[in-house]
Amino acid sequence: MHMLLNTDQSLTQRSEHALKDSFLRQAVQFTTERLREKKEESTNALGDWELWRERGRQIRAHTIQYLDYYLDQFATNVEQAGGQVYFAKDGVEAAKIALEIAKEKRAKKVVKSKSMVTEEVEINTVFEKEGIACVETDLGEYIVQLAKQTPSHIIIPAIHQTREQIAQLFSAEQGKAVSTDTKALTAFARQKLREAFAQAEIGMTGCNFAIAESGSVVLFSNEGNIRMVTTLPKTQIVMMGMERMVPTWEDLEVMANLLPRSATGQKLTAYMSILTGPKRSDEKDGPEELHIIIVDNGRSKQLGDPKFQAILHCIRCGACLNVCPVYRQIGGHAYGSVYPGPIGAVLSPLLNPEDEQVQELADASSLCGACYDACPVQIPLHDMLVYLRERRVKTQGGIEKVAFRGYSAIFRHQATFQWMMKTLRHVQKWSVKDGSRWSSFLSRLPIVQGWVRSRRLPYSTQRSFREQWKMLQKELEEGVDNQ
Amino acid sequence: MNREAFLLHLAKQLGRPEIRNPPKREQIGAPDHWKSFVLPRKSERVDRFCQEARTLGAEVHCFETQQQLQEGLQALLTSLKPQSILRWDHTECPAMIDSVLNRWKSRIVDPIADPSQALHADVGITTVDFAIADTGTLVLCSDEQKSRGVSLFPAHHIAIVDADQIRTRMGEVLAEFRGGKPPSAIHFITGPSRSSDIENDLSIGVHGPAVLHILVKV
Ligand code: SF4
Repeated sequence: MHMLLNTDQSLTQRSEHALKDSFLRQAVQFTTERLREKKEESTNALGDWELWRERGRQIRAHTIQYLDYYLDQFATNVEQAGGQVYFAKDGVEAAKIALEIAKEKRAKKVVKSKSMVTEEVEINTVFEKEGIACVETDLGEYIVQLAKQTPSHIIIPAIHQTREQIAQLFSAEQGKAVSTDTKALTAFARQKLREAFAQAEIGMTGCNFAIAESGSVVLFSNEGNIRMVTTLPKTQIVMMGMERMVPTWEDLEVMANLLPRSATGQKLTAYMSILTGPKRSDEKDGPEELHIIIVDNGRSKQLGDPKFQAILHCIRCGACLNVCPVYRQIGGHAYGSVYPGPIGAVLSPLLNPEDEQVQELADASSLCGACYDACPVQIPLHDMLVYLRERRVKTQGGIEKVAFRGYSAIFRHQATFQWMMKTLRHVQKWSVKDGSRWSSFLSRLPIVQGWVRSRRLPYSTQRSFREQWKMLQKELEEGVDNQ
Repeated sequence: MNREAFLLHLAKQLGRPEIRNPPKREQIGAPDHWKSFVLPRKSERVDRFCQEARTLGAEVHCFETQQQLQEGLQALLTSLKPQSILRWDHTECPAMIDSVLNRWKSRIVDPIADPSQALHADVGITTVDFAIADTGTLVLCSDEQKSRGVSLFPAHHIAIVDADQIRTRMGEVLAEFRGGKPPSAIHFITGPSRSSDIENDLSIGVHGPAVLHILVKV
């Protein structure tokens, strides 16, 4: 199924549009700055963050390496706890399974908590075609849904909306004016969504982690909407990417230390729910039925691929977005995909290899490596971006090939390239931090020249990154030719 | 797709036959230094717990005796003047809570008989199963007497904690659930419900309680 949400515009057009929207740019920069600072504070406070990151990577790598075993164990334990498990090879199949459950329950309304995999399979569209209303209950997602838009950040979806715009949306929904005061806006959403929670026949969630040894689903939230979704409706559907597994309860402690800190700089989110099976027969609340849909949708293609398997280690924290100079300039919408930022620039092309337009996303990066440094499970996103570009150059002929001659020329000089990447990463790290320009000595080195000049560009506000990229390519060719 | 075919495909992608026995692991769970971290004294755990919970905006009150705790709960309810109260049926200190709640009997909501009133209750009273000092977290397990909604629907959640229930780290609590069949829902609650979704402006009490009162018997 197609992952792009607005394909009528090219990546260039979308980024140009984003660059013109000054509120969006300010909001994105302010928010990412805030999240980044909070993350830094909370990981510094831990004192041994690197140890935790390394442990996080080890656990994720092990789980993915034996994913078939852990999924099997998980499914068996879910069934033992009274839940049902389904396996879906793609988005179409996943949506079909969910729809069948909803129809069997004669559902009119589904309350949803934030889940990117359901966006991947476009579940809202599928349900709504059948006359089943889907209500997003995360405050940010609710705002975005009322505005008929898509999320612009994976942790703070409505980054791009002003309080005035939100008040307008809520007022239209309410049929009378709602004030722009945060308290009033929140109170409106609380009251409105409470009705939806009580009416909905089905609650639908994603899954942050799934514990194989007990068949439990673990969900993190701050607002409490996920608790509502998993307490009130009679039927619960969990839709999860197949890579969400952790082997044991002990491993969950590591993930619970990594995820909230990386996402929002919190030691722990306000709620962490561990759900095992439906409610027991004598319990007073909780869902009577639990259906868990495990989705592949392009993920298994990465298994066994030494370059890309590690992308399945991702815990969807959004930390790489907050440090990415490109994301910080253009925001989430310009990526036009469910997953924005560095994770999206890698994951979207990988999940949709046959879609040429999506492959473009691998360009939406400066290869600075800040994403790798931020990633709580050490995914080498910048290396993957290079591989993706390489792959694209190989498979595409004509103009693209010429345009990417600069890259391919460099790829042929592996040693130079690796040295350069390493050096640049270090330099960019401090230059991103203090906002200073590139050190002049570096910019005098021959092959680095083109890179250094263009690497400054993501911070310039005059051009879209696509334009900057064209310049980068030209400079690269010159740089290589000069050698 | 059926399960066998799905899993077989994954094994094939990974370039090996399907695995039947648990794979060997070198590293399980948190780094070693963390696993051995325990605050040895109860008073330290209480102090850390209270400090962390307060940082996150919980109202924490400590009491030396059962009698004082009872008076504290009574005073809190008097100040909140709830029109409707939800409570767990079973509590670790039922006599104590009951004796306080006797005065509020007419305000207690039966969630089965009146679900819509339960959804809009003013106050929910629970005990806890565990608490975590490191993060100021309450851990609540569901069962037939301890329903999920009591700590979720009301605007005020009052949680009664015994100092003996406070562990140092989350890992100690998670270890309690290994092996056996875990409860259908375990909720880790850290501070009141919150959101920063509107212009990064923090607002408290979005879908869950806006105020979390923690009464600790030390
Ligand atoms: S790639 Fe790493 S930093 Fe980015 S969302 Fe995934 S886990 Fe977080």
